[in-house]
Amino acid sequence: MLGYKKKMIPTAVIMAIDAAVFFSIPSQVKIYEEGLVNTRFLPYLVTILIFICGIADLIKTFRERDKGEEEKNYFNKKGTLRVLAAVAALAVWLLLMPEIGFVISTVLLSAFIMLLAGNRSAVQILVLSLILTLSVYALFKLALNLRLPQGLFFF
Amino acid sequence: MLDNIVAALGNMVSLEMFLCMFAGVAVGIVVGALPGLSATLAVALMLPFTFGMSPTAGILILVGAYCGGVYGGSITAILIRTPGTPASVATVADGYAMTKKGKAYEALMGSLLTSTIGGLLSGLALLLIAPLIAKLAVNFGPPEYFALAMFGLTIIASVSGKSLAKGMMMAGLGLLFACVGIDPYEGQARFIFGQSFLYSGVGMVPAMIGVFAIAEVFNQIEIRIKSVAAEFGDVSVDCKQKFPLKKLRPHLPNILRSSVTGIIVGAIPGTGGAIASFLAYNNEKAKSKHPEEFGNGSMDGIIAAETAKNATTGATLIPMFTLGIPGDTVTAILLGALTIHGLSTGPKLFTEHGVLVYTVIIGFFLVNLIMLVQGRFAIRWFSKITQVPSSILLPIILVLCLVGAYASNNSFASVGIAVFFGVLGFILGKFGFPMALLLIAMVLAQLTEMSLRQSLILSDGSPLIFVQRPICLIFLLLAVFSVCIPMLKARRARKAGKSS
Repeated sequence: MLGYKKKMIPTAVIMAIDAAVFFSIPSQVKIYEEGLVNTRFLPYLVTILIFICGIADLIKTFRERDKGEEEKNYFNKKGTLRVLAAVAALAVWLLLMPEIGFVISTVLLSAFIMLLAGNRSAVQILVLSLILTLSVYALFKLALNLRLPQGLFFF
Repeated sequence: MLDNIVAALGNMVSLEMFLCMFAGVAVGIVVGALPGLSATLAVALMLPFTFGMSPTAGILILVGAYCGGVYGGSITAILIRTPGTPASVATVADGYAMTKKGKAYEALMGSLLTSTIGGLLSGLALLLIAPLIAKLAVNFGPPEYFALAMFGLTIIASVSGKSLAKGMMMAGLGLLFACVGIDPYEGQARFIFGQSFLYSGVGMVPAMIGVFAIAEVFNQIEIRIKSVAAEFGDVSVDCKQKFPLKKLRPHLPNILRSSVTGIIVGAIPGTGGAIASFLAYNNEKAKSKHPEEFGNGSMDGIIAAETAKNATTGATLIPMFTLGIPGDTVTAILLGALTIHGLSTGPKLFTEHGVLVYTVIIGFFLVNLIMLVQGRFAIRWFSKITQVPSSILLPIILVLCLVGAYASNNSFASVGIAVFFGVLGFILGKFGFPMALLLIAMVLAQLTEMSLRQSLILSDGSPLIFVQRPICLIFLLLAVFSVCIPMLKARRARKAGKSS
């Protein structure tokens, strides 16, 4: 029965963020002239639309609370921790790459993701991370001529 | 016209032409399949190679990259739920669902064959009725563009699944994200929050990479599947099985309708494969006797999206050749290539360089046939993906996506945006929010806002402008029917269910 409250949380959060965006429009969106259809028109229209749809979704979820659906576990604890670790790894990669370069940072990232995905073979992790990184580097830098951050060690 | 065609046929009998088309298509398919890269990038990458070639060979290599790039996005969309290009977003749901059911080869071949058919039919339109279609396209003003965008947004009703409210919230979020950056009309910054990287807005490509690819990587890390095959049973792609053309016979009306959609949308400057594929998908779902199958592995859904998408490729050349107007970035690059080779562009291109134009048109047909052959090889190679252990596949996908996001804008901010959308897609996807609608709305946002504001300025604020122009009125009525008919059908089905 209380499962319906869990279902309402994401909608409520979106509505809260939406309300914050609505009230930020005057400070975040400057206009040259007053009038109905100006730079603020679409943001106002859309934030109001999202709010109204949010209310409709909350009402629908509340009405269906007695449908007798099993309470669903949306996130499994260990899995969620792995995902958080992956997100943290991506954040660290973004911060480190300009400093230590694409190759080293990406080898470390790939190795960590392989570990998170369940690989426990040290040889596979090391060799495949290197092959992957160098292949992507060759593909983008040499074949497609796209600049990749160099960092301290020129690669 | 006939003299030019005969001369053009003579030009095509050349090893140089064949090698150019072959190389262009090959590069296009590979680049198009990689997430974050696009057909536009494939064409831009090939441009420097054309400087030393004849104008015809140069244009054909670019056309090959364009057609291959547009098709290539569907391969990864079907196999690993990662569309290579925005135009392949409509294929993801049904394509990946078919992979999970062990029908990846059927989906891939269906996509390849119908993409080729769509491309060939658009080539026919280019050859026979280009001036007529160009006249229609020129009549498209801001009200017509707005009506077209509204018609495109009605896909919300059909893709929302069980909750229309959630679908509309996602579409609203997509429109809101598209507002970040510089207002296209007045040049004012919106929702920058003092961050300079937001001046260029939230890119469509990083958002697409995040919502589909990175979110899916997170999903697979969470549940830790061993491989696509281990999780969903025997999903091995048996490339030895046959897929005869006659399998497409029941889908012929779909193919023809979707081709027409793609040709008309493609001929209108500023639209493109993404809009055409969504419109065709939506139309077929509305007409289907089994609309519940769409999104769950419907071949009709894949065929509609793929045919329409590739049918835009020839059609985008129509305003370019007949009016000298580039319809999108790719045709702008093609016009640039013509200028580099010293040819005058503009409405007289058809008359002053008729042989070149017809050579390119005939080459366009050959490019699609080459794509059919190369596509089969590409399928064979890419399809091994489903057997690869997840612990190896996930880092490959993730690294390609991150680099692709970086390459889309040469900026770390794009990578951050992709990761943000990955987290958003992961969380909201769990609660049944249809993330594809967020992307559809982002694609249509600029067209919607610009055309609405321009229309109201033209009419001094009067909304009657939208009903006074026939083409505009037709699209708006189609949009209304598109929303109302599925709702009425659903209501009737609920009443029938209650009474039984």
